[in-house]
Amino acid sequence: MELIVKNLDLSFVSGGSEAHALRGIDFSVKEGEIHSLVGESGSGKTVTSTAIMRLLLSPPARINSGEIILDGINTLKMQEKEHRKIRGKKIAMIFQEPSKYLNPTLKIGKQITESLILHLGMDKKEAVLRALAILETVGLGGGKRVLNSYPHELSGGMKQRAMIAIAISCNPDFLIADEPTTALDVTLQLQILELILSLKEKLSMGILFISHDLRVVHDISDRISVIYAGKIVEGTSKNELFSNPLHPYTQLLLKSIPDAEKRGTRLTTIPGKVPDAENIPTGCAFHPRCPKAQDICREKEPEMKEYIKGHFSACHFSQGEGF
Amino acid sequence: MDQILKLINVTKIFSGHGIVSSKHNIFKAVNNVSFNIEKDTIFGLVGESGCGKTTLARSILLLDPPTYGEIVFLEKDLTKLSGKQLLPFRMKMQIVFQDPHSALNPKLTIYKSMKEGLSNRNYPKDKIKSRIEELLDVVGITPSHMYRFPHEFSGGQKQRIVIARALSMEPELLILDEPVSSLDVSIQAQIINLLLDLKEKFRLTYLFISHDLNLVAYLSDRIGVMYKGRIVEIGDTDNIIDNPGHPYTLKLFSSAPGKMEIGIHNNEEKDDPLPIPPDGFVFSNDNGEANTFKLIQVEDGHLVGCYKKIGN
Amino acid sequence: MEFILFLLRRFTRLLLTILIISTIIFFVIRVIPGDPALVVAGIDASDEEIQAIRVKLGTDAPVAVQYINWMKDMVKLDFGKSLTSNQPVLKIIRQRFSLTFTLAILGILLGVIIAIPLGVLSAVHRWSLWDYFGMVFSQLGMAVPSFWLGIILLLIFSVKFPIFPLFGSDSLKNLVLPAIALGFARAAVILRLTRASMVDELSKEYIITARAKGLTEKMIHYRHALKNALIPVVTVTGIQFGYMLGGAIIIEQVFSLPGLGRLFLYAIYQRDFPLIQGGVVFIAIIFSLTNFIVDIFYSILNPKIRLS
Repeated sequence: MELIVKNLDLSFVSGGSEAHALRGIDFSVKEGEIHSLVGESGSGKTVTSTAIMRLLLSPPARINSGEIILDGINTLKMQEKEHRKIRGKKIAMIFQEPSKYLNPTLKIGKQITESLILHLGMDKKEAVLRALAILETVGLGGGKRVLNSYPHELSGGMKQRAMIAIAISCNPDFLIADEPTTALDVTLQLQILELILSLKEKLSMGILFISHDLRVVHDISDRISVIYAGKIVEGTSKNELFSNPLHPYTQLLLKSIPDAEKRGTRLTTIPGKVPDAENIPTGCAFHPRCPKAQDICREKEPEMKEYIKGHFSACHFSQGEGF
Repeated sequence: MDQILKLINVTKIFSGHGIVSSKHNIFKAVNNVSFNIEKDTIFGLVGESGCGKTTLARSILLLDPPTYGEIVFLEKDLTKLSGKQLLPFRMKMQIVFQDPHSALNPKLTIYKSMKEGLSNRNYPKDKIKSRIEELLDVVGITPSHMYRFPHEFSGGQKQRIVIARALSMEPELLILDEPVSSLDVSIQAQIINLLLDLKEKFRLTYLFISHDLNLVAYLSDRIGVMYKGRIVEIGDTDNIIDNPGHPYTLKLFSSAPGKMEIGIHNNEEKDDPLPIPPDGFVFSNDNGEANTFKLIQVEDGHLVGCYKKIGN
Repeated sequence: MEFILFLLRRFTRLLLTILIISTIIFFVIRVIPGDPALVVAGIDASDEEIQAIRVKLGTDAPVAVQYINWMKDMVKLDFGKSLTSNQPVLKIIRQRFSLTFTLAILGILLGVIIAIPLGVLSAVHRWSLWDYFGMVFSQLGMAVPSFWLGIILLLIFSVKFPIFPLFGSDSLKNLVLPAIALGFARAAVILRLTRASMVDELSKEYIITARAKGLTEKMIHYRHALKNALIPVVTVTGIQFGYMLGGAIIIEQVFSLPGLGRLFLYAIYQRDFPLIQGGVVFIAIIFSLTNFIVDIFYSILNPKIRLS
């Protein structure tokens, strides 16, 4: 079972302006695999995840083309009523700031059981039992305390676990995690990442992990796709990406990460900033900031090619063993 | 003067009492913190939320004066000075916070925001504009943009402006509290490089506070690890990286993302052995079998905090 | 447990408020020019008669002593006797209050029943026909003076089509039209607030989570958003109710209802000290009690507040 995003092209239209947020996104997530989507603010990573869940408001969002295939069916073509049945049941999502994304006036137990009752048709008693089991799975066991708590009574780490519990309650095939650890401290971050890894192993979930931090992504991913200005610029296995990055953007990102070994030297930086979706440069969107840029980069948009087996890059100058 | 800042037993206690509750809730946010910062160096303070690092920063700046302890800045104990006497010292110590959005008044243009500080310092009026242009240029902001409002700039640019504003005071010590945590990775690198350039150019000393150990290890000459209000380990960066002495330090290292320490099999053997406390000391006081927290020297300039066992 | 502590804290606050208000009223009244003894004695009274009345009233004693006496009486709920009618103040107020109370309840109920569902519908179906209807309704409600509305209602439903009685206060029928006049203005305010609050809640992040769970729009609106949206609405409604209890003076005039409002107006003109004092303290108590009850509702809706 796979979640396949094919050529997703999406714009935001308001007033007279059009922001071309996604310009043909291609990737897939398999069951039992963690696929990370890495990019900076404005790259389109959050738009991608929200689009997959069909949580974008249209208007102003407008799907120009593309498919989102889940279990063989193109979910973009479903009626809203149909899609609602799989949201939370087959595919679920967790977000960055649990304090904002949890209803402050509903108990955690209620927020879990309502999914169970709606999607799995359980009655109240069954649902509560199952909710307790799920809380145990995410490390919030120990009786009914958390079940009967309100979000503000839990610590940051616990809130994030609660959000995960709510999302996985119906045992979805796929989970989208949108920067779930960005707002957390280091030790908590580790715990949540370990939890997510265990979900992949124990429940064979396919996980799309969205992040801007390559270091976090390094720890848990199987495959990584790098997104820039609404397009995937590189995609490969985790090990390949870190040992042999092909796209200049990825290479520069890796070089700009501070760590103890780089002491005494200046960090490599990428001049300029991520382009606005309203003003995407011609040709390769990265060319204004790329040290390797040539005329062709301004004129022609590079295609995504498989330079090495399983390793794709969208740059005119990437090289590989040929495949 | 070698040591631009000396903290001696700085403690900040918060006590809360309600009308109906009978207990006095005493909370030691900062507990007997002592360390020195040498001029022209970067001191990295590492800790997670709630460890007291921001309270400590506020105490040093005397925004929230310490309950007791001394803060010796440029050889003067600030805690003993009155408001007026503090003023010249206050200018020489500036702070950059994590969130550039709330640091800049959204209703003022950049020019106005920066002019305030200079006017207060009695900077010659006719020279203010050119000074602002100079400062913006030095941090990488186009000077002609100074009549724009904060919301017209990106997060990274706003942070640059905040740094420029801090520099306008001509400080000697810059306290940076998570200055890049809310920025994207590539922008972080730009700001970090900028900070290093500025340090050289203006001969600044930095107190860099962050929970990102990788970053702190990259930047700092000396590191202090803070946990529950106390300094639990302090030493030169090289020593701390090679030879962490406190279990919390080790925990921070192993939790830092980017190291392949993560695994769901809890029985995995760890390569690094756990640190052992010196004789007669323990690392935690949870069993109540120890008292008196002390910092013990384990090598030159490298101290580790532990509790003295009762009966020793 | 913490809920009980919360209640205790709020209740203590309630008592303190009443104490402070009554003290303020006590001193404010004594600043108003006009000697009540003169009022009671009449124009022709001699100085000795006036002084005798002063002694009887207790206004000859120093202010501090008067205050202490008054406080002592207050604790016993003895507000003294009205100067103009010689009846116990509490008794007079009680009689009038039951009418005002009923009117206020009817008014606010009417307001709430119309406004909240309409407000929710407006927010959920923004810019639809419902929304426009709601906007017009609230504009009218705020622009139209209630006394004017009261008179119009009387003209239509008491004179032209004699459905409701013109005056009198014995049966509930008498209160229908005044309740509508009162309720209309209240509904307008509550509607606008409900709409704004709902719109606000629906744009919050936890609604995105609810959608991501595949909940139906109905569930999202009524189980998730509404509870949060009602929080400010409940507070405002409670305060509105408190004001109405003080006596809707103008409405009472229009419909000739013997309510609290008219009573106090009269008492002030007559410098009827005990009645004014007792009345204001009474209103203060009622208002504070209302706030207290609102607080309880508020804390049921919003669990965060129980910690404060």
